[in-house]
Amino acid sequence: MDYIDPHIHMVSRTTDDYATLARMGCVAVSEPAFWAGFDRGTADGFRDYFRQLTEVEAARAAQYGIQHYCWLCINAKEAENVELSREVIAMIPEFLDHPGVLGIGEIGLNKNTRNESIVFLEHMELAIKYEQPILIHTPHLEDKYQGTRMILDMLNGDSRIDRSRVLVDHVEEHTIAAVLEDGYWAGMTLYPISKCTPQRAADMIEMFGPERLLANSAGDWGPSKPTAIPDLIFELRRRGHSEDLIRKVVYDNPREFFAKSKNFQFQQRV
Amino acid sequence: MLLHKVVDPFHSTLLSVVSLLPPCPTNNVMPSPADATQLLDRHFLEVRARLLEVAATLDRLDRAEGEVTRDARREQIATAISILADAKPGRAERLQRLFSRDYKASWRADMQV
Repeated sequence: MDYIDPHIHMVSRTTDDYATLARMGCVAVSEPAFWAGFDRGTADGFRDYFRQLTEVEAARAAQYGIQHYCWLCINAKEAENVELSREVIAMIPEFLDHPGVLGIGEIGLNKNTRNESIVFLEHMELAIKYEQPILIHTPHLEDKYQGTRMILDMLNGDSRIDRSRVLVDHVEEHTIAAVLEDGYWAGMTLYPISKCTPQRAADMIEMFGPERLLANSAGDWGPSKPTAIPDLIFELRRRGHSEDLIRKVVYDNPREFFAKSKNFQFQQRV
Repeated sequence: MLLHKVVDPFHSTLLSVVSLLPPCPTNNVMPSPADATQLLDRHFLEVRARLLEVAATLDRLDRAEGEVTRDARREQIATAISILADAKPGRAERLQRLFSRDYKASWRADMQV
């Protein structure tokens, strides 16, 4: 089955991974800007990273027939440095007309601090000003519930936000209901240890239905599995769910959400 | 062993906090096509293995030098086990909430954001 991985960090994966994804049916990926494993010191460091996302990765993916899209921001971890964050936010518009840029992301919270919240709100302003969709990272482990509620407070508190153009990612059992009930898209991240397994993601699909629900691997430089979506497809088939349901979650829903961006010019496989 | 924990004041507090959580929804808009017996057949050995891992880890803690019975994480584990053992739905969500920091609706005013 053709599928789309709506959240995967291919800058930290090998070319062999692109080949494996293509063999597994992956036809498109979207790559949010994220933490590199170390704090970058300058806005120019981010400019180079954004060139890598918009130019290098798109070309690398194309060699395997995979369409590459991306999202730009300064991530929640480095957002603790408000001065640097403001320099990066001021530079992002240079890239927003690039064909592969879908919007602002993955913005969010990490340790749920005041500085992270200030930078989140300033990213929101950027997205509103340039009419960009938003992809949101929610915190890990014990910080997730509190951070997700804080993020929803900030989004819900601004009437200019079009909820149908916002994806709140990394939802789990204790955060999915609030995200969907408030009218946002929700993403489930399939990780080997933290976040969510394919089995638990299948449970959430059964409990909440497939509307506005996406699944991703968030494959990166840490413990993660870039082929986690085929694992979810396998789990849903094993339970006896229909191909239509599976396709909706792993293919139709990402296409519908990404189409909120004028830069999403998807080429369907014929 | 768990009965000892239930009368432990700190553990009792944890249990009270979890019991105060909002009721979990019993959403099931798309039930699994597999029935309960089929699911138990499929998952029994996997659950058995995971429970044994937990049991062996607790035994390992008991055998080790030092004392963690008052460690908040050990108390969380004990509370989590009691959640697994009860018959109410939404166990996964309740476990998630047990392992989560509290949310205060007044955070924006508190942080002046």
